[in-house]
Amino acid sequence: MNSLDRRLQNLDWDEYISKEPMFTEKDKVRIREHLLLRRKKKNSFTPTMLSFAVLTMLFIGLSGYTLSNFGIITLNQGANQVDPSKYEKELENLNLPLKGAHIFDPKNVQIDDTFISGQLKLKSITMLKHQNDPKEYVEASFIGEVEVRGTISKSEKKINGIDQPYVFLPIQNDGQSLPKSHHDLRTPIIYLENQKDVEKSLMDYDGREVAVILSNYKINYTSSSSFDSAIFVSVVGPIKETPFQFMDKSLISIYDNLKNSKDESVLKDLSPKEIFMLFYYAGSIHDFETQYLLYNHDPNMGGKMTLEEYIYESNKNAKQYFMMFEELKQNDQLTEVIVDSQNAYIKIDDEGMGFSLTKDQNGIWKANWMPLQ
Amino acid sequence: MNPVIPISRLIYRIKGGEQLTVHNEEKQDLKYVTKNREIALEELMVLFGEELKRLIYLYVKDRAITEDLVQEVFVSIYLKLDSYNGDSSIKSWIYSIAINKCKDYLKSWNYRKIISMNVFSIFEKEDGVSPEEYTIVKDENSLLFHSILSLPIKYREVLIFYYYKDLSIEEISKVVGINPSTVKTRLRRSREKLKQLLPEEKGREFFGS
Repeated sequence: MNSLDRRLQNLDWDEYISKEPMFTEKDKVRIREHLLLRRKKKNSFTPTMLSFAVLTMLFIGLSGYTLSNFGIITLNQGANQVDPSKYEKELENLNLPLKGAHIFDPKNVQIDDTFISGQLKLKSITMLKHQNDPKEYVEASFIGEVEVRGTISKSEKKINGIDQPYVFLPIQNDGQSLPKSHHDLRTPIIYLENQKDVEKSLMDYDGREVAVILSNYKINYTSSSSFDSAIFVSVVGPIKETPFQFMDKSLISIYDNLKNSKDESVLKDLSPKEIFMLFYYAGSIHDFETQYLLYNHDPNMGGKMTLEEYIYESNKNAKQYFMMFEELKQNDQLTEVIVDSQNAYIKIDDEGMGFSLTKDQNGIWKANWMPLQ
Repeated sequence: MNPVIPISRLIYRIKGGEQLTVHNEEKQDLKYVTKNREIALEELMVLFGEELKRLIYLYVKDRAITEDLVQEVFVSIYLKLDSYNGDSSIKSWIYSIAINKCKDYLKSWNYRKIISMNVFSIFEKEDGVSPEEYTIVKDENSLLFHSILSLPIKYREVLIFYYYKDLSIEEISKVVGINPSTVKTRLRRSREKLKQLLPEEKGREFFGS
């Protein structure tokens, strides 16, 4: 191998392209927006009575509603230029359309499409139109039984003529999230249709977080106050696993505090999963100095590095941290497992990948050296 | 239809480079991926967004153009997902789309106009590096990187895929669409051209190191 070949092989290209992550949420929004506009433009070439009516309204000077409010963009792009910033704003404000493995577009979804690893199959779907409302309301029913996690609770509202009926409140953003339409921003409430027959079971678990089996799930998305329904089959058991919510405001505040003060005592009351989240957050923003503080520095810990060595080595893999953090935010298998009072790990997948932590001599959960195994 | 394995697991495997072709038992997954284009796009953005944007930058050397092109590349991926048949790895397929977009841009009138404007200033390089920044280009690796960027695209791209993306000669041949012997020839010539641009390499050559 000659000298130039060796230099090319050792060249850290990423350092010179950009030290910071280049592909950001802004890029994602722009791509989604581009596709949205493209779909709307495409639709514009099939003029309908509705689009004609809307165009006429525009011409006679009615304002207040734009075409985008109706979800319709019309034909004459020259005369009615779509304002991308408006769509960007709309997407940001409403966070629509929703994205995720359990989200469906009612226009594209098909009968027999399956959700939640095939546990639910779409049986029927009807799109409902509400005047002047851009949201796509739907009624849909599914075949199959599904395990869902959430709380059994008594509703404050009267449903189907029953005062305070039992409802099931699924955990949102759970790995086992039930299917929902891409415009559906309701907090899910599932009315249990067979509650008279299973009242004893429901009473036993009233107010508790449990995993339950439901069947005949139906979406009744007709307004913000509508509710879905299902048949309650059984309770699997109380919930032990906790799905992760990455970096809420309080955790970011603790992170900033640690970064500025270098005082590890701010980590005192944090759980293993919170330390894990801070660890990858630090990596994603290439703050390896703060990340270094999250390791267990007790004298008996093996595999330690100096701060300088650590920063040098970590910078080589900086891009991977960013990617990993993005992946972790979408990983629905993350589970905190407390082994004993001193040891814990975060289960990352079913193939045995985990992130290990131990309590240090100050009683603070810290990452082990080479934590990911 | 439901995938045989979860989509996230499939994508993990694709990303890991373990799966260069889709095996029979995973045809169902492929069908699932191509059918659920919105979901696939979201996952592909997470997995390949950063990588693609960096790759595109190495082709066009302009951050604003890179922003636009990465957007176009993902829109193309979304629109063409149905045509992906699993004959090549999804990574190679995505690379090919990105390369075509970049080359279309480099052939475009817009790009040629920018180049012709830039020749009036010896300091206004295509990547927007200012004269001040040029004085900071002090270490040898930085000089090497900028020298690579200064090579014509046909030489630059083989270096990118061979040394940066760690592809084999055969893989480069498929991704770039040239035969393997041409890849080897271009690699050799690109190194020769680099040596001409790097004073320290000329020195080393002279002393036989």
